[in-house]
Amino acid sequence: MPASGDLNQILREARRRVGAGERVALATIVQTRGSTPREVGAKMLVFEDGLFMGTVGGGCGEADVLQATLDAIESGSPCMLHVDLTADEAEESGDVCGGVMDVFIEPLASPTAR
Amino acid sequence: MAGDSAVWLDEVVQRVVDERRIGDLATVVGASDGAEALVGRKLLAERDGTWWGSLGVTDLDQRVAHDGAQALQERRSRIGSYVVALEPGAEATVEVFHEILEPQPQLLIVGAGHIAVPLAKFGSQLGFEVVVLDDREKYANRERFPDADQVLAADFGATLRDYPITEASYVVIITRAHTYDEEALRLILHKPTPYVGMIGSRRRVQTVLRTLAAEGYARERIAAIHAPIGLDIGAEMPEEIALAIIAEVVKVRRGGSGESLSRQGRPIDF
Repeated sequence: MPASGDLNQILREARRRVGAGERVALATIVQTRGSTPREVGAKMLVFEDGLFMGTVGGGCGEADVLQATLDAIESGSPCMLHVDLTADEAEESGDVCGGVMDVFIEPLASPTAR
Repeated sequence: MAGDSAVWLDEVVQRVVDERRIGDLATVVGASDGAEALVGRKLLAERDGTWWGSLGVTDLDQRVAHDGAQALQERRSRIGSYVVALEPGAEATVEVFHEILEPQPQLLIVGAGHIAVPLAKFGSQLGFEVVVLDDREKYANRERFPDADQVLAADFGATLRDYPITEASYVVIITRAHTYDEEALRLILHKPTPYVGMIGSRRRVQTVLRTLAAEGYARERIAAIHAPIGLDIGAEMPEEIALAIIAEVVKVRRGGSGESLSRQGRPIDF
């Protein structure tokens, strides 16, 4: 479970942005196997300009998640991203990564806002 | 996309963030052919089996809310698979993520003496909303508690009587006299808080507990009070006592044993 303070902040920020008519996307870890850097429920809120708050990987696998959230903002469709942190690439970069996680990515927007 | 995100965000923020109610946010995260339109739909289930929102299929809502109440009991997020009948003869499977949303926990420190200062710091570091209460302005002030979310210089009884104490509130009673401790306990004992701790020697604690029992307070509520307060880590300094207290709070919140991990289970062969 994420630190609840973070969760509060992310939910509040999501509501504020969506209420203001922005398009954002939320990535949430829904399932993990092995030793992943973050736990089920950890969230990353991504804005249209690519900035974000929160983390689902503490740096590990985050580039893939970021790209998928930006795609989701564009397409308006949710998707599930399978992130494999056991790949050689992660080891080479020296990250403390491992495990496999499923990340649900959903665009958030309010057609009635603005 | 499943409609207007502002609607569920409003509901979740209001219940979980503002009202500090624990909830199971159930989201359809996967669906087999024919049910793709359900992906992204949400329902917020509560412990009593009631729910807000809809996943788009009536009997699915019922089953998911039922499982949500179960997930809330165990406080464990998980994914569940459900078979739904879209129309006679056409079935689909949907994957639903049951996500336990816990409100930010609150640490209510009653008594702003020398242990309260490090305790407020620790609580804040650990993600608690920290509230400090004392009837002496000399103690209950911003300078002493820069990390606290709220510092209340007010009467113990009058403040606690109306103070919203929920199942996310952890209450530490460390006032300067057992008469104040008793007053605080009288107002807190019937509240749904998962943790009430009170400082004091075994003798002083006994005096307080006996007084409450004689006044007719439920014996099981009295027995649930953590007094003397804290885990046994041999604490001596105020900072150490505060650490022993916050460790006990975390233990209760997370369901730990308080024992050294190295002493649990079979000794490791070496």
